[in-house]
Amino acid sequence: MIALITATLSWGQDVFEKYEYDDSVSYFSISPKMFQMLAKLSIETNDPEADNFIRLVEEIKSFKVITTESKDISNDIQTWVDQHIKSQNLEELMRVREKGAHVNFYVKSSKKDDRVKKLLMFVTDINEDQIKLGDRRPETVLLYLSGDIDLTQISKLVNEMNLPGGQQLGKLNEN
Amino acid sequence: MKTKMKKLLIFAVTLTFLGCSKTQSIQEYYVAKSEDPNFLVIDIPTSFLGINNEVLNQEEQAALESFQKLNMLMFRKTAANEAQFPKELEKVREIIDGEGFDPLMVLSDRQFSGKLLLEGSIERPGEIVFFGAAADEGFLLARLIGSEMQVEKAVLLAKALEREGALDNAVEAVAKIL
Repeated sequence: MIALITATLSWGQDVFEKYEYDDSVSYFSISPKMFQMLAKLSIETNDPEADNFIRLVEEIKSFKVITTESKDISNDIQTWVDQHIKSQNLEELMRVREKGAHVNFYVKSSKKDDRVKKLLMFVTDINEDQIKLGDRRPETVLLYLSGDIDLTQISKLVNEMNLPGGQQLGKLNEN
Repeated sequence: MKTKMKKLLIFAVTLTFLGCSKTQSIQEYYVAKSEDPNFLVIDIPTSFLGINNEVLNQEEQAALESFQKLNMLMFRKTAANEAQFPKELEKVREIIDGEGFDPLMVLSDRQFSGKLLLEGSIERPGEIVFFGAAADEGFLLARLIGSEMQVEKAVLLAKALEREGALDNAVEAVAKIL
């Protein structure tokens, strides 16, 4: 009985929550409930850029980022990504190599053209000062988004966060 | 057959019991820690805002009434209570990561972790909890408690409170306590 419960618990846990309290990990997430609540607040600004951002936010259901400098955790994240791609039938959108870092984008397409239901951005081998989060220099970054997402808007977000690959993601949609 | 039924019954009772104790435990933790000198407890009812109900329109009044109070529990880390810190941290995390609460936002780093949670439905939550911990400083557990809180009116309410200078009143009132 206990074994069964433990099994279900660890099965339901994704790689983000698994390392939430780990010291060699930075983790940030916004849950679907938060997005629903934000949508209800119907915040209005007079700034068109901010309004655009709010519209983007309203299309997102779930947002998670995990970064780590630990090799072991990086490997575990890699395993999770591989499994997730298979079990969720994600397609590879593109692969970018930027300043030594590997950036892979995987998506679950929506019926609408330039929209996706899920986006996984997996960055490995970051060995320069590309991303700085406080005093840390993460080696691996995994970003997970779900909802009804416009890829052009996402590229803006990725650029804003100073993550590699944002520009390419924007170009992809111009074609 | 009978023993099976009995087992099932015990299982059901345990589940019910667990279900109740989970929502209770954050309150129990508050009560228990209010006697611990390492903790600081502050209760701020929304009436503290010193808002005269007459200046608010009906919609604003109803929204304000749905938010009842703000409960804050602080643990300040010192050389003397350093050993207690990780234990308390673990206890709080156990409570808020339990089944009664849904996480809204999570930020977690080596130095700082913050978590915003909600109890109840998104439309009408009963409680909104913030837990922030800094590795060197201590932690803060804040609970905004209400009854069917009108979350969507928060912006409207904030505007009304600003109009009436309520924040100044609250700051003054808290300053008096401290």
